[in-house]
Amino acid sequence: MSGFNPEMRTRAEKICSLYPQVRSALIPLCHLAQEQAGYLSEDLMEEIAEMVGVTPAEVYGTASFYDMLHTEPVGKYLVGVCTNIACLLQGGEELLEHAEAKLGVAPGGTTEDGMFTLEDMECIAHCNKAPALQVNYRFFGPVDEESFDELVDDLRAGRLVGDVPSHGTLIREERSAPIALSIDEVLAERALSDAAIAQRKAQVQS
Amino acid sequence: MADEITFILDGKELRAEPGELIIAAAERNGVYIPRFCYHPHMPSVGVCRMCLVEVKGPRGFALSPSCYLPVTPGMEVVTDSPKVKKAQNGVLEFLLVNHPLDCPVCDKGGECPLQDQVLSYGPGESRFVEEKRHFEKPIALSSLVYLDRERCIQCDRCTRFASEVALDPLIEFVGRGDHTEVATFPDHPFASYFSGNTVQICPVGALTAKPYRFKARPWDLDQSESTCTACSLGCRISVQSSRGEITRYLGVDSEAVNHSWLCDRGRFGYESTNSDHRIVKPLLQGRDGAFEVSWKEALSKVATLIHNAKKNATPVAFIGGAKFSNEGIYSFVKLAREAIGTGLIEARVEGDVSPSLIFGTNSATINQVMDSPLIVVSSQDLKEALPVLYLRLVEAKRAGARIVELSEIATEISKISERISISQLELAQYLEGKEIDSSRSEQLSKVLDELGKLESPSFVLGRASYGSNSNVVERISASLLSKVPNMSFLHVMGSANVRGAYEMGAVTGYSYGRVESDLPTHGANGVIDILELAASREILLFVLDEDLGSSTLPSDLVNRAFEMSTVVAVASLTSQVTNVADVVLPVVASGEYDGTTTNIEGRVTRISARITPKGLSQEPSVIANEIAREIGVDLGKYESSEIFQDIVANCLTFSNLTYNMLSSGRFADGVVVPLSSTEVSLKKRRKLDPVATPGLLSTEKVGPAITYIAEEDAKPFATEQNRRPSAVSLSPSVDVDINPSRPGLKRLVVEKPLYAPNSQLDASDAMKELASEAVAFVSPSAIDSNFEGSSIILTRDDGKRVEVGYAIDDSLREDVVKLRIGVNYDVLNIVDPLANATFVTLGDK
Amino acid sequence: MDENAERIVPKIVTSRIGLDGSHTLETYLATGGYSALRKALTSMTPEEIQAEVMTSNLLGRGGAGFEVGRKWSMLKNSPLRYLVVNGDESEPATFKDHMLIEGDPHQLVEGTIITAYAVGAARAFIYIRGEFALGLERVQRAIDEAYTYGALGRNIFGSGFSLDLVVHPGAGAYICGEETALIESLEGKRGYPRIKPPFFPAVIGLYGAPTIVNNVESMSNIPWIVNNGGAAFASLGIGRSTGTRIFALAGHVNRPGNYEVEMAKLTFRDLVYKPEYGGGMRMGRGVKAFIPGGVSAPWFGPDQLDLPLAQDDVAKAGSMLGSGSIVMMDDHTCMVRAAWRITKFFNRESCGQCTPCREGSGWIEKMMRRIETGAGRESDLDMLLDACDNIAPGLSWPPAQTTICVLGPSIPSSVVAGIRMFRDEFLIHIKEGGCPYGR
Ligand SMILES: Cc1cc2nc3c(=O)[nH]c(=O)nc-3n(C[C@H](O)[C@H](O)[C@H](O)COP(=O)(O)O)c2cc1C
Ligand code: SF4
Ligand code: FES
Repeated sequence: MSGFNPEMRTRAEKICSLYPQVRSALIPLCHLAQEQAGYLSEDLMEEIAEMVGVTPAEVYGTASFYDMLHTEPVGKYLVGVCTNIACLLQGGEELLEHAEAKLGVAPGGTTEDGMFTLEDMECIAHCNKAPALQVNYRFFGPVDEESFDELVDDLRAGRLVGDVPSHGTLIREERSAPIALSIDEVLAERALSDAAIAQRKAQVQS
Repeated sequence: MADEITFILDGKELRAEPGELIIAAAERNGVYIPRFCYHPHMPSVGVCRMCLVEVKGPRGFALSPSCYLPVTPGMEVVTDSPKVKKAQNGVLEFLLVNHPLDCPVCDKGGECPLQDQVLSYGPGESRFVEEKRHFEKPIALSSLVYLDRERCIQCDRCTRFASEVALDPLIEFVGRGDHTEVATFPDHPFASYFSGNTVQICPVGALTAKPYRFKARPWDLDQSESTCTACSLGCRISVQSSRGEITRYLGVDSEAVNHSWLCDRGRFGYESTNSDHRIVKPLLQGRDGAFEVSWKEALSKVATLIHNAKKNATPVAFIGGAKFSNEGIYSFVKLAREAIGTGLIEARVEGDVSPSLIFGTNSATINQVMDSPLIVVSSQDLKEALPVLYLRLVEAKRAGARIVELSEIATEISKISERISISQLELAQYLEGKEIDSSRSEQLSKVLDELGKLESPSFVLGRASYGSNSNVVERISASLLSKVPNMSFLHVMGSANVRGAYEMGAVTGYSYGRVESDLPTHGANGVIDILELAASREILLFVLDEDLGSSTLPSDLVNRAFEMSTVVAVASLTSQVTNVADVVLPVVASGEYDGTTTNIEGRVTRISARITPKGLSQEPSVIANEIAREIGVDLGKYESSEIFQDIVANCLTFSNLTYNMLSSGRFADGVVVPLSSTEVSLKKRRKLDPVATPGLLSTEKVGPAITYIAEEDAKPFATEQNRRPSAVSLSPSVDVDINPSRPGLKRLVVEKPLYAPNSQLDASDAMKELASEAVAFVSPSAIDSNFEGSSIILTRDDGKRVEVGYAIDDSLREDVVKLRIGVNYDVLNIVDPLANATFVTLGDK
Repeated sequence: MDENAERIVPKIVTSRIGLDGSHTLETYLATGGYSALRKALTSMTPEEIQAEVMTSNLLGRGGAGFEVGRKWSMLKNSPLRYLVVNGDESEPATFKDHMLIEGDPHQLVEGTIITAYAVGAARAFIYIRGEFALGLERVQRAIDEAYTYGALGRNIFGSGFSLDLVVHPGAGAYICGEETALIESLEGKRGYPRIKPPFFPAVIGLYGAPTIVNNVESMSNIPWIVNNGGAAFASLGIGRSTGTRIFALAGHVNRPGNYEVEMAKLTFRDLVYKPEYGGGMRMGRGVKAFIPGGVSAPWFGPDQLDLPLAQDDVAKAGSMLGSGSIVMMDDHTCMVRAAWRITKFFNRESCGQCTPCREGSGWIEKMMRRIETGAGRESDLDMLLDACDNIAPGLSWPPAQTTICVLGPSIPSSVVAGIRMFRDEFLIHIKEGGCPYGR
């Protein structure tokens, strides 16, 4: 068993306390799990399931809906080249082709050294810098063939460690403010939301 | 209904119930709207978009899902416009885009809602020429259910069933968009007691059941409607067969009982009927083991045994028969009481409550319980004992009922209820006036007050544990009745027709018709006494299709009884009993006989024969009659319909019932006895929707008992005579040694899981691997930290000890050990079946 | 236009963009930050704030353009209400919220707190697209700073009003921008849109409680409106299109970027060609077509360049301002390829609930790719239109739909526009067996 390590477990519990319904913490916990392991291992999904009160199948089902959550290992750097309309118009497809050649993998593939996973991405909202890409969700653009090669070389050489944490680390800023609601208020909110959820369910009862 | 509303459907003004969905209201009014994801017994999701109709809103008519919108007063709905037709056509074409169209090799081919609706509402041809989505071929979701993802149309039925109906969210959609597929968590199988229902409701051939895969084509199937006899709930089923073999059971949508669902043990139990574990010929025990004989030889041997017993004044006893039909058990009662003259006939092998409790209280119907705003349960875990009743509770809960569970251990019911942690012994004492701690006493008195205020208060009551006798249950009911006189009870019971066995007089002290009997019983009352008798002196013991070696009885006692007595086994499957019996008489199994059965509510329903009995096996009534004839007594009736007439004539509670009535549409869901004046049992059946349960309407021939349309004139309404049972006073013994004699002792709570192994489970290829070893669950603090190994020793004060595997259960009280029955039945020897409670100490090996 | 030319149009939401440390509390306070919150909490009732927002006629900036004040007034009464800010921005070629989130997170936080106060929310959540790692960090930092500063937490600014605000990361699914899918996602589930009715968030939203969902840019306007009054906001723009709005200009223009302009006063042409905005088409080429409001919107041709940037005018012309994204395509663009790529996007992002959207998007994408790569047939065009018609019956705008949410009927927009406007180009692909533009 290798679930959350103690530090991560503490952070995970803190995240759970931010929501009146603990299942809401599911996706943030998946990000946290990826921060620890780079991807969502089965052990981690099982631990998340236990923490948020659902079955592992529900964690898996939910996580698999989202592109950023990976239930199989990915490279240390996830390079996502945008090929959606704005980037397409500025050469995003060609950039992706170049990236494939440079990294030697097709979109979805991971380089043999486990350093890079290449992805064909939908719009990343960086269209004023088209063609744009993200490495572990840090923005780069506009990127041409040379700057792409340079970027890859820099990443390989560890020159961008401060800017681009390894895959999985999304939010380096941990919440410092405690929840202001008192325990009683949280419990009252939970009871109200429990009732509202039950009512919502009754709404679609046949 | 008084507050019905009107709306306009295709220009006609029609009625609907408030809150009724358009699709359901239309259907009741004769307009069938095509659908895939909608299922009448599941919350709607409105995703397949097949049921789109035009509904008038503030901005004119718009396409809306009729399975999602409730009818509102004056609502205008159009179901047959070109716009609607085009939308339906479009949805069907889209569904076929990625569908493999492998109908010829698909189990569902011929009864497939996709196939059928394409024919009725769909495009003439597919315009799709692109490459289809590909998945690797069928994968096992569990040992019972297989998934072919290419055929899946993402209707969310199976996943919704698992999460919303069964509360087992073990299968989920994974992926997104057109990559969505159904999956389990890696290496966590879809281990649900109810998994077979997902196969039943899959509108395509994506989910298949292992026991049925490739066994038959729908057009080869014959069916009869019948009643499941795997437990005493009496779910309605369609028994389907092909070429003389049973091929599957499907749940029939009975409003009264199962709402179309079945548990897997019931659904796949027919495998044992087909298995080679069947006893197909009479057997006699010889020096070198059993040998096959003719019926003539076997019967004459039995007659000789009876004659000798009579001559030597050897007691003759009958144990079992609770799985037989009413007619079967009735015939054996006649054989025992009238032809042989013994009062030793006892069907309550699981030690169910005394007849005075059943005869002296009003039974609640399942619907009466489910319709109540407050449902109170004190019994063993209902999910294990009566699985489909658990589904009904989940449904009631979703509809807003409050469920209160009175149990000292957490059960599956706890998940949907407020649990007051109290043992039945404590509850009995509390009700009798003994003080308990203030917080629980406050909770309990509130619940009882609320119950008392209900118009028809009911209580779900059964023995919480096989570790104590049933006296405690009688004490609880007696006290409850004195507090809430109009309380009725839904009694949680063991074998399928045990309730019928009470009415038929297969209980010591009574004969059929609830009449007390003074035939000799040698002082025995109940199955334990009879076995003790058999262990103490020679008797002639008939075992009526009961696997005594795999029951909640102590195996020591059973073995001693077998050693001393001459055993005649009437059996359908090989078991420990048939191995030791002197004579074995082959009896029919589920699917092979006609008759009636009685469920826990007292609901009498039809059982139908679908196939001819295996080998030389015979119906129990025939066996009883032949034995009687062999000893010179003519019991008269052979046909089950004739025997039923006899039952009606002799049992007041059954008066006015006819066999035909129970075979007809109106009463196909059975009639509850004793008949009540309000006739709650007559809730009308929903019209059969071929998409809700594919395979019922599509099946070619309709067997003898099944009919969805026929009406019957007979009215089984109450008469003065049969409305109320004769008053029987409850006089349980109060407060005898129920507390531990010294500190440190732990009380045993014995639980029987759904997959408790027995000869029937052994004979089912698909299910036998689901049985597990017996386990003792203990609280963490009850276990010494230096215990080694994975098993512990349970020791009784009288020195009796057993070894059993154990597991820690955080939710358990320190003074309780929960023993879950499993393959190694020997551990039950630790239970003192006559005691009010069994206490043990825990020890290391 | 002339008298307006003299008027100085304020930067309402982008005033700090480009300032040093625009995302820090320090800069924010130095530029008047949190004065609106102070004003709101100490001198205004929730009803007064709602009235100002109603007066402003601020139209939602998330896509549907629904009046923010009216939405607030529809919030069902309940002891439990929530506010959820939609920062999922994933509509292709839209990048304005991205800028606001990273560039001025305190303004977003302040707008959120004021709104929570105005609508009586028990708690507020800001749902931010998972791919905005820096944005998530910045908003989290801003929230923490706001707590320390006393703008969040218990008894804010001594007013007696308390609020907890939680930033919630998405995880990569376009559909989670749809408000009910966003709520499901925030509940820890697959991002499946709910059926409306009955699940209008203002009636049954997060955890079943009445919930307001507003876009990041919508929220960012609130502090200014509170400080300057709804009337001042409404005095900008024309008719129902009041205030300023950020347009995210992308594609073949010389200066792609976010431009906050007064609504309805400029035309698309102004935005594309004026030197302070787009600065003209790349390499001086002509406009072949443009997408006026995110890829869900039907395309316009050069004829529509002179339409004003006003919600109703664009709607009347058969499209929408939608998410505020404008994509320019020059006369060297392969329209089949452009339409195909947009279809591919929808196919990848369909949540998969509704048959027409799930299966239709895949089918249409395959047909489009076949045509683009030269394997199309002439009959494919009618088949495409008919498949589209089965998702959005009538192929009109605003669309009718056979699906739960509007992602479904957005699929046809570009395909239908492409075929209607550039049928010849489709036919060339089919007849010549490939793309005339060399791909
Ligand atoms: C498919 C789809 C995607 C959407 N994506 C977004 C989005 O990324 N951001 C957003 O603010 N609104 C998005 N919306 C609109 C929201 O559903 C909702 O209308 C909006 O958040 C309301 O905020 P507003 O009233 O402030 O505009 C989307 C709608 C649909 C149908
Ligand atoms: S239209 Fe598409 S995205 Fe929207 S709910 Fe249906 S399947 Fe999902
Ligand atoms: S959408 Fe109504 S039956 Fe599927």
